[in-house]
Amino acid sequence: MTVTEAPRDVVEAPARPAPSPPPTGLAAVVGSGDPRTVGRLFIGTSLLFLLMAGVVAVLVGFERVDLSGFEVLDSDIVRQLFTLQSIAAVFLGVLPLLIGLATAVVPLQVGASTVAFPRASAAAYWTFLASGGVVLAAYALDGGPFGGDAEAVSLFVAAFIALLVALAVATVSVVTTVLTLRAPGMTLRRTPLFSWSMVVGGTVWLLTLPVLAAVMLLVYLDLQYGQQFLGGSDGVYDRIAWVFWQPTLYVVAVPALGIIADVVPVFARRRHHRHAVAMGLIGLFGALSFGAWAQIGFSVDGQSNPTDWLYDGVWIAVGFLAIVPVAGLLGLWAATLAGGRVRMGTPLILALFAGLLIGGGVAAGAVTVIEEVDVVTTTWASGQELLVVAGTLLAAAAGLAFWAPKLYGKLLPDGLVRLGATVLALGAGVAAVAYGIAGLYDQPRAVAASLDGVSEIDTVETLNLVAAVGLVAAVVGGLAIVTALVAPTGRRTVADDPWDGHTLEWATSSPPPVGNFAAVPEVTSEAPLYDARYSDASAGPAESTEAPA
Amino acid sequence: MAASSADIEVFAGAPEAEPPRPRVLLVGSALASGAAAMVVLALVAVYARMRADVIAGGDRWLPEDVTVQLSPGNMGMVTLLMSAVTVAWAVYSLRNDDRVHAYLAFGLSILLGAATSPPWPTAGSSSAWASPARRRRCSSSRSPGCTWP
Repeated sequence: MTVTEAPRDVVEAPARPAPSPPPTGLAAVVGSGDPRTVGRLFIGTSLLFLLMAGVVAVLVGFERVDLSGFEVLDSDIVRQLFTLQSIAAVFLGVLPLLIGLATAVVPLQVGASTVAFPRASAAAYWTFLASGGVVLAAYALDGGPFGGDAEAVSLFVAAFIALLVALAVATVSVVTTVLTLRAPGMTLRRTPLFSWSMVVGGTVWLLTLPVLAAVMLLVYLDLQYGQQFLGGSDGVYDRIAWVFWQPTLYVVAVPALGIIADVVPVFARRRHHRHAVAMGLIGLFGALSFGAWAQIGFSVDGQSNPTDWLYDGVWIAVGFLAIVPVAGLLGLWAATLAGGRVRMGTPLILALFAGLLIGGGVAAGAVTVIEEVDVVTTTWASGQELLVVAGTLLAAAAGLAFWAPKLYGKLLPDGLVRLGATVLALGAGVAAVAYGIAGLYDQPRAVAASLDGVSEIDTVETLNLVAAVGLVAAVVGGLAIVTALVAPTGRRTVADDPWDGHTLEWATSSPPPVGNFAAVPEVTSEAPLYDARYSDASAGPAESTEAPA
Repeated sequence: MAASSADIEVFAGAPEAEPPRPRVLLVGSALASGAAAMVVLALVAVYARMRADVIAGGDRWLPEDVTVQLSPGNMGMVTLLMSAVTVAWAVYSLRNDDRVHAYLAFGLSILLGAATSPPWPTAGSSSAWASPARRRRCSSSRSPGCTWP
């Protein structure tokens, strides 16, 4: 007998549709919730914005060379560019750069397959991109702070609020990842220091950015309904500028400390000296950097009131206390390097530059709170801001060089990155020192301000020229680092753990697969890969264990 | 009724319970709520600060010559409250897998949101202070005739 019927089980089995191929090209980027993709988008976009901010800073710097008037640009344009350089550097540059790095790296560090809210992170990036573009468009329409077109000023404020919301959402995703998706055995005490610094810094960001957003909301309403309270477009920057002053300025540097703290022990080939103390110091620095209370006073006529916090006990205390955690961390890193077998890898060089600049910025901040010196409204504060921002940028660059195998599947070209970092650090340092000395001659921080109190005009102009040249060097150095990111290295493959890393991200391939890990082992210390490589697991690693030769 | 030995035998082959799910939503919501609370606190703080400055200067609150556009503000507040209801409705619908009502609720929320801050001139903003011509002229508070008296 011929059997013509198929067996029952074959007939009844449901036909499975062929799986649709994964999207490629633009669709893979636009529709992606993959944290590595989103993080790289944040990083690339913020670097472009940073280069633009650097060029703007150079323009403003050269306009300061002749204090008798403006040579190239109109005074109104210079005033707007003066605001743009800080707004773009911090809100379009440094913060999204750190968020992008964290979005890509933190899940790997804590042993998670992705961030807590991948779609929210992706939405945050696209909102950041759109609102950042509108912010710049509003400036182009004469609508930045001090702008002449009221509708464009309102557009700027609305876009700026959207930008703040985007940054806050992305931050929530990163912080939640660290708090809830850590690998088995990874207590908060064992969390890698960059991830820990994102918890600290991100929490303070979430306490600070909404305050700025609320103030901007009031500014928007004031612009829309009569400009009776907050001074129209001339009052906008007063409501933002407190972010660029200490102590709030320091909040951008908190994750930078975490990056340095992750890089140093790997290149010292030993554990981080006093890891728990380092966590405490990063936490203390984050707590001190909450500065929403130190805003310029509000007034009904749009003029700034004398600030009651200026030279007050709390402000002075914060200015001096901020030195303690940074100095403590610098000491711990020195001890780590001193007790290890140091190899001067590129990430370590960048991290050391970053630590020195941030330390210098915090030390300059301590001088700012001394009433007798009276430099808070001078370019001394500009130099301090430059040191902190440039130091944070260098730390982020150190992170990019360190985690490039995980981010891009390649190592960055050493020579170009080292050259760029050296030029950037030297340029920013020279510009900051020149502005600082000019501040001691009472040069006001704001452009187009009265020069009545300025002594030694010729000397100040010379210092401004030196600062402008330093800024040019810093921009060129930054351009070299960006070039290194996109330049081909000639090496097709990179090792999974090229640095002999200590933390979980080095336990997976470079670049990581979808889902990051096939299986995550139980974590028993803050440096699990170091333990596996050097220590006798049964004996347990000692705090100051040195790597064997 | 006590479980019989047969019932116990059936459950003996069941897979182990999944480990407790990380409280991702709870922590994320707490962080977002904290950020939202900071918005409210900041608004209250700004109001208190401005009021205190005026009173400390010997004036009364609100200052005499200030005209507060109450209508847009009040309408905006009521509209926001209404949108809170519609968003809660949307969440309820989603939980009950009621797609039609979820769409309706979200649509109403978007409509109310658009009504809160309309891009076109409203009755309250048509005063001399907020007219488009004046807003252009008074983009800078240093412009003649634009400084608040």
